[in-house]
Amino acid sequence: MWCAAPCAFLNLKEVRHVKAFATVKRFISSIPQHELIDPDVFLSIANSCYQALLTEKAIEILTMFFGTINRSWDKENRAAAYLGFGEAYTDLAEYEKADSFLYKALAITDDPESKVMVMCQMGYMSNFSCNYDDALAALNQALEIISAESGERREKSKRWSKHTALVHAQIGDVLSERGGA
Amino acid sequence: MTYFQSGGGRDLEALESFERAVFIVKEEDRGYDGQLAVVYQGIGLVHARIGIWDEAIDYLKLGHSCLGKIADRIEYRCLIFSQDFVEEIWRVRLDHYFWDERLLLDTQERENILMEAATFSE
Repeated sequence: MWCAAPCAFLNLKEVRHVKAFATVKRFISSIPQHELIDPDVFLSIANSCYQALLTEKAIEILTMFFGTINRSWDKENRAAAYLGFGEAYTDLAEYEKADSFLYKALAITDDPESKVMVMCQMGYMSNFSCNYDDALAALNQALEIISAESGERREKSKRWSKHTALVHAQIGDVLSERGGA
Repeated sequence: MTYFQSGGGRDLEALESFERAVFIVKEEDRGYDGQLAVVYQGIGLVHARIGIWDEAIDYLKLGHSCLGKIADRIEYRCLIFSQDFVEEIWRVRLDHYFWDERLLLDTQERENILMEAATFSE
């Protein structure tokens, strides 16, 4: 039963998208309602769909999982899922929906790293929707969170410096008005 | 007005931000080529807009080569992004060909640039 997730990944990797999605659906429907699922598994599947440009499928997977096992999720996983929705709706140019999901993510997460990721996505979305001031405000807020974190944490986490670089790159993007030109 | 000059914007400040990002990716976060590609693309496009054509091409090619290191086929976005680079190199070279007045005196260089643009248009 648990081989369904790797099987879906493999199908996605080999560009067999229809098969991958069918596997995911089978995987979901075979799970009893009461059973707890590792949220990382389906967040990864949704992310893989998103990376494979199957944005609508990613939304569908996140919606299905939210509907079935919402209560088993901790706050951080829910925030990650809201961020996933935000990324997907940004891609589909549905900025209002993206915005509302990103605000939900921001409201429930306590983790500074997650907050930075959400602020980055807000900046990215605002840049795409030509709201450059909003984009800069969100990205500057992300920078504030980063600089408020202790140097020790920044040194430890490779992902943390990846986010820092992302914020600077996105500020560059907004300043050059590349997204809206 | 060239294709890339249409944006305007605070180009020098943008370059500063991009350079900070490059520093972090290279010094603190070695090995994340996808992010480096994004930043090089930004730097390349700003250089193109302010008319520093050769540097623009260098950065875009650098970014494109970073993407080549990411072999995972699941990253469809990566493939699309790679196509963006090719298109941008083509556009920058065309812009260079039509707008760089120095090239009026150098027929050979003009031809080279046009040939490169043609290569990237395929």
